[in-house]
Amino acid sequence: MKEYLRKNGIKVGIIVVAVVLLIGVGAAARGGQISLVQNVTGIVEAPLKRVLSSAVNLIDGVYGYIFEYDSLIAENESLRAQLAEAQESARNGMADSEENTRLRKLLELREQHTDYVLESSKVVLWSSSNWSSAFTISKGASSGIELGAPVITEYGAVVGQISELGENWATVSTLIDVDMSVGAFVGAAGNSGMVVGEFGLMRKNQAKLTFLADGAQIFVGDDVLTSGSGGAFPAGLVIGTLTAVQTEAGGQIEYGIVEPQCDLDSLVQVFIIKDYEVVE
Amino acid sequence: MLNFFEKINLKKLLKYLLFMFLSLIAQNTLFTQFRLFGVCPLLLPSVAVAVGMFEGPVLGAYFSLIMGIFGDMAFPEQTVLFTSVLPSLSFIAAFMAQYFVNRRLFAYMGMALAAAFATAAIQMLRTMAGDAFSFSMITTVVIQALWSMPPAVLAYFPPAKWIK
Repeated sequence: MKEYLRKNGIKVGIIVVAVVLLIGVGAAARGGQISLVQNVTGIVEAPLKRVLSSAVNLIDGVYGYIFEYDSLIAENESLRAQLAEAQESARNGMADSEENTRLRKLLELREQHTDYVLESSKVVLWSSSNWSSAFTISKGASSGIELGAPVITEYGAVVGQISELGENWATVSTLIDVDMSVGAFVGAAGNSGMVVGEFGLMRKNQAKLTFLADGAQIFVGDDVLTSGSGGAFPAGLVIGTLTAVQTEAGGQIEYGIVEPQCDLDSLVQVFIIKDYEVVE
Repeated sequence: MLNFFEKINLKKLLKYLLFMFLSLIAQNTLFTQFRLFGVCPLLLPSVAVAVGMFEGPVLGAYFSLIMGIFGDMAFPEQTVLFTSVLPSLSFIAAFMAQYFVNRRLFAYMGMALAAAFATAAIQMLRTMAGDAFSFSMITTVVIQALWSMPPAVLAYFPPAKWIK
């Protein structure tokens, strides 16, 4: 080989330079298009590149799994915590928004009845007794609440009355409880009567309008409001609507079925009237 | 009385106090969420029966008396109903277990059902004292007694295990 290059080296060199020049000129003439050699090289290289790339990716993945797994777990936990926080924030926002709506309604009520001294309270727990309708609220005597105080919704609808009082809790017996009775006016004529709880009706979230004045006429759809008689409730609060008019067993005494204005099953917050002006 | 206090095992006493506490918590908070046709289960009579069956008439009655006082506090319509009824039920259960029935789960369930019916009937009579009778009172008694049986199973095992 050495001997051959010594004899023909110059010729071989000239031929190699010529070929290189030709390839260079050819590539320049194609204007950036790949040459045949490049093409062949590319065809051979492509699968190799793919295999190599897969291998690199695999190694990268294994590396990541081994060395970045902990950081990914930590990042995942951090993102979960952020998500939970965002969800809680959204929930709080909804609860705040609902409370805001209730307080706006209450403000309207306060503007209408400037004599009312109100205390807001959350409903804590319904009684597990099947023989009464009552729930516990989160405020008590320490907030200035008294036994027998009327309890209403933000719309001014009657919920019930304080029946048990603790230092920081109280029990509210609802309008439909068997031991409840509220003086009432019915309809446009303002006939007087009493709304009382009855067990059979309590199971259906209803109360009974009875002890109507002589000659009083009541109709389905009549509004029932508090009369203020007895002094337990201020006059003019909404109790509910008459949904049926029936007669007692003897057929002579008429009574009505009252559907309370407030939805007792969905109560979240109530307002206790601590003081109000009694109109004689 | 002195003899009774000497017999008290402090560890057992704490267990029963915990049992009573959990029963009252379950009755007043958890069971308000489980309503069948609007009726909640009543666990306390079953607890009184279980303790009476396994601990005898004296300890059972004391346990039920204290539980009854706390139970009445959570039921706004009644003042001394549980305080008087639960010790009686516990005493009767202890008497029955001593002479007539065994202490197996089936026998216990029978007595718990009878106790649940008796308590519901007394609650109905109390309501009837201030209100007219309605058929829904009967259905409430039946549903309350039957719906009280699934949780009554849970009340059997703590005393049954401790007495062994």
